[in-house]
Amino acid sequence: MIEFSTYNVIFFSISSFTLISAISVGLVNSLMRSLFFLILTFIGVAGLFILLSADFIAIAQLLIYAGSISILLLFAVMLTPESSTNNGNSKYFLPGILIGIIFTYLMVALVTIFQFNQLSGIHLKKLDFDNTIASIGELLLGKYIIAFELASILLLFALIGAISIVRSNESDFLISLNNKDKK
Amino acid sequence: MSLIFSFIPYIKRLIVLILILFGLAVGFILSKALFDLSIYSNAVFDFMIDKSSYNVAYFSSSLIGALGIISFIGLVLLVGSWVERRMIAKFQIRVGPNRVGIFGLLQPIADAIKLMQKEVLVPAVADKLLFFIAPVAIFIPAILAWAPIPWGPNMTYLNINIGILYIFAVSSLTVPIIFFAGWSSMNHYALLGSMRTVAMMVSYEIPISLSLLSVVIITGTLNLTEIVLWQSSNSIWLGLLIPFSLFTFFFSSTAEINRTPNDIAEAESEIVAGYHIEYSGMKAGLFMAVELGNAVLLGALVTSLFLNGWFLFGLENYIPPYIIFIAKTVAIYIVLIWLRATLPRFRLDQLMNFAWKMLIPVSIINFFMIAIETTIITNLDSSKYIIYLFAIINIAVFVGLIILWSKIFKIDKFSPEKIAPIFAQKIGGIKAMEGTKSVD
Amino acid sequence: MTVQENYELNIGPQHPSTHGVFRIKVSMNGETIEDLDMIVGYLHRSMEKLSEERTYTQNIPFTDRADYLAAMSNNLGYCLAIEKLANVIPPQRATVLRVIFAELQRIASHAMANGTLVSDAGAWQTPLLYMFREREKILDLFEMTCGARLTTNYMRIGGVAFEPPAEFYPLLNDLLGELPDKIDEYMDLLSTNEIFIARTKNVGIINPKDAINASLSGPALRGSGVPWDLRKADPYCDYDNYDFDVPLGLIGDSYDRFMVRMFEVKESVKIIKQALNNLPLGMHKTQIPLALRPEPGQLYFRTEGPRGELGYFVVSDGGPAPYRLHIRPPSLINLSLLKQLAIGSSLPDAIVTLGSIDIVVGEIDR
Repeated sequence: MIEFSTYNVIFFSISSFTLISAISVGLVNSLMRSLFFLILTFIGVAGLFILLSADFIAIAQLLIYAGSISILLLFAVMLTPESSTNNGNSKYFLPGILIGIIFTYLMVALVTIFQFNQLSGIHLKKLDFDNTIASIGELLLGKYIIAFELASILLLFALIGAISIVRSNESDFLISLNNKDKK
Repeated sequence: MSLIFSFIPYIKRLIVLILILFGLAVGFILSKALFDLSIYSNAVFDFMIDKSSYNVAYFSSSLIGALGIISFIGLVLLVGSWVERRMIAKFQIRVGPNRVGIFGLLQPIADAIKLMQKEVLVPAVADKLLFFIAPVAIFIPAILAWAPIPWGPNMTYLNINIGILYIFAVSSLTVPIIFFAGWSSMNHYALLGSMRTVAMMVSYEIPISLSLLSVVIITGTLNLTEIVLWQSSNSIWLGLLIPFSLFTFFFSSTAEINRTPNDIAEAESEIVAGYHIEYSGMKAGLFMAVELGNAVLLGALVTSLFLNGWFLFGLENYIPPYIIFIAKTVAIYIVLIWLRATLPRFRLDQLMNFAWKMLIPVSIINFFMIAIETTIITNLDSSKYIIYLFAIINIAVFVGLIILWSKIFKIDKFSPEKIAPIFAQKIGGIKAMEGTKSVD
Repeated sequence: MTVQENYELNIGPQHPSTHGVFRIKVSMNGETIEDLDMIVGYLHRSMEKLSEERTYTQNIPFTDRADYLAAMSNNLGYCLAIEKLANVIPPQRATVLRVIFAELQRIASHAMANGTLVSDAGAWQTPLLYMFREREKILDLFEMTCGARLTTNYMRIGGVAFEPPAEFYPLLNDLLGELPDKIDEYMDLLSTNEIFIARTKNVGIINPKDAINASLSGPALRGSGVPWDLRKADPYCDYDNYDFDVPLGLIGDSYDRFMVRMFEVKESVKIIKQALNNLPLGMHKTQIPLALRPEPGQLYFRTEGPRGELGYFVVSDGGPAPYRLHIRPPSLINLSLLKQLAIGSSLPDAIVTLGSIDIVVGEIDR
């Protein structure tokens, strides 16, 4: 049976908050509202990370997902027509449900296949935030240096790609302007 | 009798003077008791640990600390708005609020009462849920961000290793909230304002993070308390050692918190009030309060990151350290008010150009320079004197980079000769107008 | 492909920077203005029609309320027009007093115009209130002379209503002594301010051809470098006897219009000083019949108001009231270029351009 302790109370309140907002993402009609619930989900996940003594990951979760990715999604939503009120009658309703069921099945299968005994939370009851950044930094620039550098190169390519895409559009725009003048 | 009446204007000032003297005397007597406020929450902890479990004691003592910070924020919101209005009135050769209470000190309370009485209008087409949540939610990051601020030697509420990142992450949460506020109003002005906010905040987070990285790399820690202690142990203010980071951080933060000259998100003359145009009553008041609180938070951050926190040339041994900290914070806040009272506003594209074409490249250069300096400092034993040398070099480079940038982008300062008027030699000089003399 | 859709934005009738109840319907693409529709008429009080029911003297207060920021100049234009129609010759002292008050009004109006322009550029009202400091002093002078500050109703057909009191002259001299210094103070504060230059330089450029074709007048025209000032070109009130210059702009942007106004204030100070030196003694008003009946005829008379050519077209049928009175408001004509200037620019630029053109809605709608 689940032990009644402060840790468990906090864990279950945060995880239920996360789950409820995650379910709401799919249930509300308005895309903006589902985005709002998505941000709440991110915040809840950050809370779960804090419970696992992973303060850096939690802050990164807040910073990157709740602060930045959500902005990206905001812009994406702004570009979708009729996003504001009602997207319940979407033609992707049935495929969406199918994909959801498949995904849930995969998740459940994965959870049952793998052994998560190390992470059962027994020895994590006391929070311990000592030097997480230092150890993460040492790992990133030591053991996982190649992955780290590859990721940074990937980001650089993404940046340059974005700039080049904008540039080409700009030149097209200028050409069209010139044509307009000639006409 | 008339003599007594003629003194009435001075009696008010006399009363205030007596009150101040009284307050100083009481403060002197209590200075032992109030020197370190952390003893009170510790006393609560010690009291509770005997009666109940560790968690309950921890929770109750932290509640005391949180209450202290929240009451400070509440006080700042009230006094700050009065200070701002009075200061701007002084700048503008006006009197300012002086009717409610002595020197109008109760004006903020009267304002708050008025705002609470007003009806909160909700637009018929608004997204009611988001419209309701946004002004409440925007208060949460504004208060949470105060947690890791180091007030004094033992007075850091949340002494975490990732203090800077924490503040950065929590304050980045305001962006979607502001966007929701603007979008849910279903008003073009509000949407314009929130789009401007999002564009500006996304751009200005980069120079802010670069300038903070310089601080982190030179002190070797993300903990705000340790940054303050590093400055005092090396006996230099980081603002002098890395002036460009201070400038970048301060300027970019004014963009983040919507203060002049970067208040384009709620540019009054263009988009009226920006994202909170549709809010009325206390909801609009909440947005204003958050803005003011963020301005003071910026003062506290600049103080602890760049101005050596609670240290002030040994005075911290005689005055309670948090008083020094608050004084520095208020000084930065007054600089913000000064800027607001004097400067016009940039345009959105000018601000974006400034961020991407000036602040970010120069911040990167500055960052590399500081990285090199840090390696030299850490590899040398007599680091103290070399730090002063680096401070001079950095200030020189700071000035040089600004001049270089203005040369590259050809921003000449207007010389007085160019302002000299051109006078018409002859009236009606354009061909079409020649010959027309008068119409009878 | 993304589909771009313009959205409509209603700037005004209630908006901080439309300077009154003036409405601009803007079609915007992001922050860029694609199309623009100016809608006026919210302040229409039917002045021109109402004036057909009143005597010529009773119509003077209407002119106060047309351009409420330059009541003296409007009074002057109207009175000069009627005097010319009815062949009334005002005494010399009245003419000089009229020049003094019209130029004081020009200073007050320019202070307001430039102050609101800086306010539109985003300065939190500080320069506006600095300029109000001098404007207040001028309005005090008006008040002690004619009892009113804004709607003065001071000029009369055949002179001015009142002789200024004795304490008027020392105060005026003080004001004239300190005004050039104050102007230099504003110059220090604003004309070299990087942000203000960035906001107004190259914003809303009117080239001279366009300015003439749109029949602009006043600082909006002179800002484009067209040397045209009715005080020189078509002198009234003996303006040809005064020594003053007409400042011009370089390229016709908002900054030039701002600076032209600044320099015009200095020139106005010069004119007032000369007028005070040559103030003749004598009557301040000639007697005219209570119900003035000019000969039948029509006349268009124009003066240089603070905002430009202020014209009055009067038709008399020999009766005590004008058969027709038409006001040519400079603001309305100057405003006509806004559409051309604003399309393609961003919203903040359009606001600054509107501020630099300096409109008064009371005059546009009448």
